[in-house]
Amino acid sequence: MNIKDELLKISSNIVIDEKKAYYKIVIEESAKIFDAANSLKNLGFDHVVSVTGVDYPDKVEVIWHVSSYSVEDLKGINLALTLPVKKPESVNQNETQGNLASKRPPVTVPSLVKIWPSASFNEREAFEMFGILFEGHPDLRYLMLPEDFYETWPMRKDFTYQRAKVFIE
Amino acid sequence: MADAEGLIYLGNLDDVARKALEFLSKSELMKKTLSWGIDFSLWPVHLMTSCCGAEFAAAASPRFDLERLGFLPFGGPRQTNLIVVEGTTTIKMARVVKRVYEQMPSPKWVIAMGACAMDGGIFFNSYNTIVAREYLPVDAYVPGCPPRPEALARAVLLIQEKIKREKDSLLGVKNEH
Amino acid sequence: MSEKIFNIDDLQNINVEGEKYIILQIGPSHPGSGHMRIKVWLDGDIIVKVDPDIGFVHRTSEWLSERREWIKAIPIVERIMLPDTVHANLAYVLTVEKLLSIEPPPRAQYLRSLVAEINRITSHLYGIGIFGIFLGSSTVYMWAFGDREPFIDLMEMLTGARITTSYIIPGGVRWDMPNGFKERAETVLQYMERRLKDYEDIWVKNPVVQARTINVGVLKKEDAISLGVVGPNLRASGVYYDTRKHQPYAAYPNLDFEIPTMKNGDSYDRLLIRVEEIKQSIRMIRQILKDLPEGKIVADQIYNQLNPVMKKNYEEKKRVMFPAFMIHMRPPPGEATAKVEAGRGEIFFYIKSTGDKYPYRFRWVTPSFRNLPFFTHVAVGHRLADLPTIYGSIDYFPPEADR
Repeated sequence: MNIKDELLKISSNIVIDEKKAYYKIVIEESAKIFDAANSLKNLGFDHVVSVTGVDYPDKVEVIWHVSSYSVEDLKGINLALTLPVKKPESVNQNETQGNLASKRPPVTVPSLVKIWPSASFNEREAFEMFGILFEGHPDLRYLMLPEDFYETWPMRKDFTYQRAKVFIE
Repeated sequence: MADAEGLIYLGNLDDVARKALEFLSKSELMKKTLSWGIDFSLWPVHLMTSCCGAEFAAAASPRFDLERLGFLPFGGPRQTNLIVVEGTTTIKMARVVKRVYEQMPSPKWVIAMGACAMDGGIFFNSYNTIVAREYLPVDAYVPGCPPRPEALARAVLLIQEKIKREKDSLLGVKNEH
Repeated sequence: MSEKIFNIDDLQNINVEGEKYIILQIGPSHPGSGHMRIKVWLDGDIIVKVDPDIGFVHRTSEWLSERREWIKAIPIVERIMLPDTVHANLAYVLTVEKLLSIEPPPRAQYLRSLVAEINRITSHLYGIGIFGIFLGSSTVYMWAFGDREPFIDLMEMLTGARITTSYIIPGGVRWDMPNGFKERAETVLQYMERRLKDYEDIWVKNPVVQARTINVGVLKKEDAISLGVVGPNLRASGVYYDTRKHQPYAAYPNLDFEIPTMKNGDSYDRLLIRVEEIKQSIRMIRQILKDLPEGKIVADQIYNQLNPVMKKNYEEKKRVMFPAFMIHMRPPPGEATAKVEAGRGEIFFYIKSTGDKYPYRFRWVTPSFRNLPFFTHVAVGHRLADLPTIYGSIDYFPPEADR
């Protein structure tokens, strides 16, 4: 099968670079992500490798990397399913919580756990690091960070911290 | 005063017992025997904190064999007297280590193993790590990243020398922080 | 044993309210739990729900690497995956080489595969030793950790360090093979083949081990694919997939090896497949030592940038002093991904560069993180005493899952 033609049927915005092992497909709106994921699953991509976000000053790009264990032609491809989302307006920047950063509002995106069950732990990690709320995830709570870091989204580029004294008792 | 069986005591039994204990604990022969006994039965708690745990596990293996010094990793904290903080401690793990340290009976000693427990190591300035001396009183440091198992044996020998030089009594309560 | 629940949608909705269920916390300072906490809901002796609580060793490698130079990420990435350092090093360097568009010479590719296969043997022996401790046998722990030492000595002879070697750099490798290495390696390989027979008599064909591991923790083929597990656990369930065959790198296109798969998917198969992979690695090391080509160990683009003193050092001692000019390396803007098959599974890297001196986005996923669904989906329905068996058979290493 020709990968390029199959991907062009799903969305018109694709980037393919075979030497760097880089295949990328961009979906513009959140409402269409569910149908795109269903078509990719019917093509043969059957598990999720990683879910992450990339932080820019005005938007957050959510990326699902998918791959295939069962179809021979697709076994060597890592496809990045990308969805750029605009950040909402931020609240008062001067508010601080204890000794950690100021409040920045989270971003909302549909969850793909119903299609690919292997995305469950990955989406929990993306939620606590970037502040991406996945709607429809059955169990969205903090995975690795302790409660000192609630709502601070450490991997965003404007995370600043200043540790006065940590309470260890 | 006479007892029911016809024996006679003179003086206060509690007082006499306390004075005998103080005399015994200051005598040289008793101190040497006690420190010899504790030196060769230092049991660490089986608590793996981070990646130096792989060299800790290799130190208990047949090639380096720290068990000939009496060093036997043991499961529960109530029967041990040494704690080895190996590698980086995160905030979540430091709360557990402190609680295990407080459950151990006195006298007890602490070894900080690896560059990360000494001063941050390669993961310095991170938002989730904390240095060992901020929440525990450390007795010996082992540099290296990761240190060779022979270096851990050297640290156990340093603690043995520290026990021999101890001026206070080992029978009583050690100075708590 | 109660009826096993395995409908993935049902597992999310188990009702654990009420007084019928006991919560048990198998915490970090337990000999059978490693550096994590496992919360278990029990109905008598049967497990109803499992919730792994990870994050006790979260050392923020991604956040630190985005604030330091490119070459400083090599030691950080190695210390996260400690029993398996060469594969983590290789995965990062492959991604950076794709961004820089550099190809290493053939001798360097063969040396990279040699160190990677030696490391695969030590990683599998570590896993077998820890499995023995969880089942209660300290004999296998002592044997396995004692048998790792000859291979660690081989790595020290070649690279200079025991475990964290930092041997692979963008463009090639750092040291060349010394004299006497080939004879010494042959002695070690013959020793290991004799020892494997002892392992099979005492451990693999032991009736106690067979009674505790056959039909415990069964994972079928369709569920293994949809849950996304990796490594020998995937191949023990019957899926034929290995990154060395399907996305080849280093010297693997020229080597001749097989990939074992098993049929049942229980804990006994996961034990057998690790022993088989050790045999395949021994076969590959013999081929590499026989076919090693001559030539340089760094690429021409890097060699032309060394100053005359470093070039003289290279000609005399066959050693590249870790080049200080790499501290100012700035790859051109772009994105790249790479996958490598480590001892426990598959490592995945995704790096984005904007031409700055720090990476813009550094993302990696380790094999233990992708094996987490074993706790929530496979342990349900077994007795409590089967939980260490399942844990030990998947070779889960918490510092690598938390990164």
